[in-house]
Amino acid sequence: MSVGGGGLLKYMGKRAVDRIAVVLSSLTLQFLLLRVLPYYVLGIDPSFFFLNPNLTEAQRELIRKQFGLDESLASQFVKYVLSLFTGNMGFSFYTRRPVFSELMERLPNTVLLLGTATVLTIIIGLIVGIIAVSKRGTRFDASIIGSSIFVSAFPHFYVGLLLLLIFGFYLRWFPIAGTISRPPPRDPVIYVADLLRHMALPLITLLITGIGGFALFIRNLFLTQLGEDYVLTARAKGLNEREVMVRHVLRNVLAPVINILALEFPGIISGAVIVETVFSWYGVGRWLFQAATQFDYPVVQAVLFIQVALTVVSLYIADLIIALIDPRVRLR
Amino acid sequence: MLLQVEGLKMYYEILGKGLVHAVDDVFFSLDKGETLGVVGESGCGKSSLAISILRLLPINGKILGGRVLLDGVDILNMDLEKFRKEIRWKRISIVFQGAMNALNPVLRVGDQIAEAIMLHSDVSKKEAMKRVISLLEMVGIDGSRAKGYPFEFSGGMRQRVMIAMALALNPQILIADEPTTALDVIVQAQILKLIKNIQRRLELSVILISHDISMVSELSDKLAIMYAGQIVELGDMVDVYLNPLHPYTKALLSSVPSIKMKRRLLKSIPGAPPNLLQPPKGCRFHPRCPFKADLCEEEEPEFVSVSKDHFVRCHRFEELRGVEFK
Repeated sequence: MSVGGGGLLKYMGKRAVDRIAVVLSSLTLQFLLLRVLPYYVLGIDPSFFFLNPNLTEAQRELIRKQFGLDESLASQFVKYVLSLFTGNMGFSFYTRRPVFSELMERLPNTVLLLGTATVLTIIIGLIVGIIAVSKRGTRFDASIIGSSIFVSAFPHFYVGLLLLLIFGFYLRWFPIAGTISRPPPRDPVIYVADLLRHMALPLITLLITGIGGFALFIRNLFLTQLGEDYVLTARAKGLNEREVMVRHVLRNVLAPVINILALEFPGIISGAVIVETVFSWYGVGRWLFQAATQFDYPVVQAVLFIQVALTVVSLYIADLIIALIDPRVRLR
Repeated sequence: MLLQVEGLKMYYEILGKGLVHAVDDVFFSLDKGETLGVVGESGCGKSSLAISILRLLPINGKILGGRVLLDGVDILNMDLEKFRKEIRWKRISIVFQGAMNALNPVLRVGDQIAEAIMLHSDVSKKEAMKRVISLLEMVGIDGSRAKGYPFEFSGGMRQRVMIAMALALNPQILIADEPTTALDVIVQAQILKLIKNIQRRLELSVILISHDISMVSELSDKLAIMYAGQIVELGDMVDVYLNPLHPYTKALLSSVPSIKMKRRLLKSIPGAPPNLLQPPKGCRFHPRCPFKADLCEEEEPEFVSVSKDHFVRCHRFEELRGVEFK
């Protein structure tokens, strides 16, 4: 009665249905929150926010029509879902430019900042966490726990503003805003250096607030597993510490780690709303914040949709990997 | 003597609190083919004793004294790398409370057994698997189940797998640490019978650790009673059972019902075991002992020999011979 591939296929099929349901329900929720609630329930007419108040009613009507706001809710919903799935994200209410091309302008900056931050957070957090757990119970471990809790309790915006004040305003080591100097340097080497100088403070902010929590997570994960009896059995068999870690513990901690990584990954695309806003970083996160405050629905929808879709896809891949590692999962 | 433990001392260091005297000045010896039962209540240091012998201590566990001789060689001060390769599992193996988590949940049981075989002997995976199947069949499990995962086995079967794994390399000594805890009574009996049969067939020396004195005495040749990190009485099983000398042994025996003896009320021992961070001064049992004298509060009793094989750690055992615990 060992578990074969049939169990895996069935399991992944079930998960796929679950995940599609998640996407559809979150799309519906987004539609309700962004399209129905403000305009039809609260009576907020988005045209007020971006139109010249001196326009005539006929002109306003024309513009609403352009954006499809005159159609029935049902047809708006169908159009909305279809366009998202076909990759057509519509036009920004605010700039009238295609959402897709605006996204592509910002995406490299976000991927650069968040990608670096995520990879560094994971690597440093992993190392710190494993060092802490291998020295568990010592003062070193205790101080890592203490400082991790301390730094991860700081809100992003507070750390960001503090760094801006000290290193940007008083010490003037780093620029206080933006992604690149104006006008951008011509020489490619200077360009990269300039970009990195702008990136330093937001990156440090993300690292400070991210590493502590991740290191603690890793430490506790390993600690729980190291306390399990099978670890003692493995040691008693005569395996050395490295073999115990690699052959026994790693397989058991892998599942939660993969889950966390799967949840981190979409952030590389959808950005960090608060940090990007604090540092005026020309990225997707700040764009989302601006769009939300300007009632620029197509942009908000596009970013949220990308976030949902990426989360679902990366979690699905995580499910598959976990099911391959842990036979118990397939039976659920 | 196959195994001699002399004055073994192992303390846990608790940050900011001090030392837990988990194993304190423990003496015993074990012959080939002999079974030693170690009995005591939870937290008395039984399991700490087991993992001290195999040097499987957590980071804060420190061996502070004593010797463990295996065939006359001190394995406590042996190079750890050598100990790991030559002693662990090959000569001394251990069975933990297997019903729960002693097997790795995500690896096939056959692979877990084969891992032990291949680690210590130069055989191919195929040969190792052959041995795995014969081991499983020896403990009453169909060889085809080697491909199964631990969660596909019942508690009793998992314990059988653990026993098969422990015997994989024909060790001289098997430590069974609460091997039947968390199993139901019928399965318990089956597992004990299995250990007994295998022990006879392979001339294995067994250290059987349990809180259950009647279970242990069914299998043991010798009995060691542990209290608060120390062995308080050690001797031939029948001798200890019929002529207990230490008040704690007497108390333990009078707390167990017997279907053969006269009907009587079971007795419990008043008080609770001491905190091993600060064990009581003098005899560790004195706060709960109805026979304590002034001396017991002041001076720690020696572990003295009463007869050839009978040892006790009590100031007043002579005067108390035959006196029942009340």
